[in-house]
Amino acid sequence: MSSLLKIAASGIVVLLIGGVGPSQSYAADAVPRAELLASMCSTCHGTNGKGAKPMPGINGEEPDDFIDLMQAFANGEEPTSIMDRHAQGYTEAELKLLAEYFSKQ
Amino acid sequence: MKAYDRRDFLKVIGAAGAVTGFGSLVWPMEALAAASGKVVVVGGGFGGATCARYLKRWGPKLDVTLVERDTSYITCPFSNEVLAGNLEMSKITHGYGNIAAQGIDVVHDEVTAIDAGGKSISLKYGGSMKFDKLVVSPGIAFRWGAIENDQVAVQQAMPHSWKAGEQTLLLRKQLQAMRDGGTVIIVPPKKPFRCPPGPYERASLIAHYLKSNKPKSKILIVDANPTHSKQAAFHEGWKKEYGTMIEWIKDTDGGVITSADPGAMTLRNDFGDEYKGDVINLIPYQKAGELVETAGLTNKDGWCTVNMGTFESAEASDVHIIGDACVAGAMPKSGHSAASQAKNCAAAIVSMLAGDTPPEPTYANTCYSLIGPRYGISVAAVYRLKDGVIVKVSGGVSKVGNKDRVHKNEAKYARGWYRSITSDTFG
Repeated sequence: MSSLLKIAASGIVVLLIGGVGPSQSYAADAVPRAELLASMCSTCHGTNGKGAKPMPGINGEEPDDFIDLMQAFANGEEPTSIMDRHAQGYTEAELKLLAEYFSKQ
Repeated sequence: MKAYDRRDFLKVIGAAGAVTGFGSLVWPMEALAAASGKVVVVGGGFGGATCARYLKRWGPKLDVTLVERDTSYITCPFSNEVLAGNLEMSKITHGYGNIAAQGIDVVHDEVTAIDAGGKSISLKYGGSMKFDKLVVSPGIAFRWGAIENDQVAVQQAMPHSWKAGEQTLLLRKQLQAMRDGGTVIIVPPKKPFRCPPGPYERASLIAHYLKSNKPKSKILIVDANPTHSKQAAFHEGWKKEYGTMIEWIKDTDGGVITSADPGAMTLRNDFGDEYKGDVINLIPYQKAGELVETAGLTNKDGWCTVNMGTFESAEASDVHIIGDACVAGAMPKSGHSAASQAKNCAAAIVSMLAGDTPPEPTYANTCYSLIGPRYGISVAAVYRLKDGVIVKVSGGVSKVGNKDRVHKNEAKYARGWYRSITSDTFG
């Protein structure tokens, strides 16, 4: 590494420790929360939610339909062997993130 | 003076973020999005293999190496089906070819030591390997001596079959050779242990085999614990499918086995009572895998204390421990839990190496057990991090009184779960 770069690097460290600079990050997250949340579903519903028979694919759904079904599972309106126990674990904001994510897969 | 290129620059950013451990680096977008560095993952089970794959997915520029001793992995899930003769071993054996094809360097070697301070590991055959971040997913080891003679007994006479492979086939052979009217004894270890419902699913599937092949036989579960996983659902299923064939003896009713005599095929409990079996499955008490114990990464109970958000070891920075070996609050020691932890760990590492804050963790576990090939039950839960501890926020066990159709569906879903998780883990 060049000496100039070393200085640059230590400058970054100082900047961090000092907390200098805009407080709000304007960049995209390295790993968006929707990615991590959705990866929890993929374990049963296939990578990217593409299904693993008889587990249904959950990709390509209309976001509103996705949210509606998850909420129906959660409140017992829609019969299910297991999805009520999962759906009850997520907030409405999280269901929205998941719905948007899977609609694009 | 050499002009630095973008790649070097990103490395510096990544290193600065990792060293300081500070949350959000304020820097242009392309720098933040690109994590770089060398991540070594040790152990190619559900935890390690999933972690390697998701590290590469979320950090495509990362140099990811998976170190695994064996060239294929035999899953514990569905090994009870192999044991009962319903499935061949090849159906639960997975290679690492698809992981390598994803651009992950798969090295088949054994890690002999971890130098956390020097950021390197030693390999049995391949010298040493440096890392910026290390993920260890070592699984379990047995706590020999918790039951007198356990280590000798499990070799041949009383196989544990708790790491799927030769031991699974050994127990299967013994079950097939047993006379009708014989007694099979299953000894679950004292909690905590890998796969909490495993011994009870095993009893169920052995009962299924015996019912049609050796119907006069009996199964005793001699249990060192006061309660067991999915208890009500299992007991309902046993009664319905197998009548009185399976008997569960809890700790205070004489279930605490203290010694084994492999020659006489007997077990003795803490009251001094003796149990004689024709086939005995002795599952030893457990602790975290030897590698983390040797490296000084275990607590006084033999498990690994970690930051439950990032899975970084409490004992060594930049070393993350996932899966059965770690203490993960309310999560059970299951393959699904390990995969869930692996994804949270991968997200945390990619974020840290990009100088970003890891996303808020979320964890899930789904675990099916078969009471018969067409009778499934499940436990499922969603977890969150609260005050540094993983707590359950929703979930539960299949209801007692479910219709046969629900049981049949859960057995189908169990197989779907297996196909899905193994493809998410091994590609």
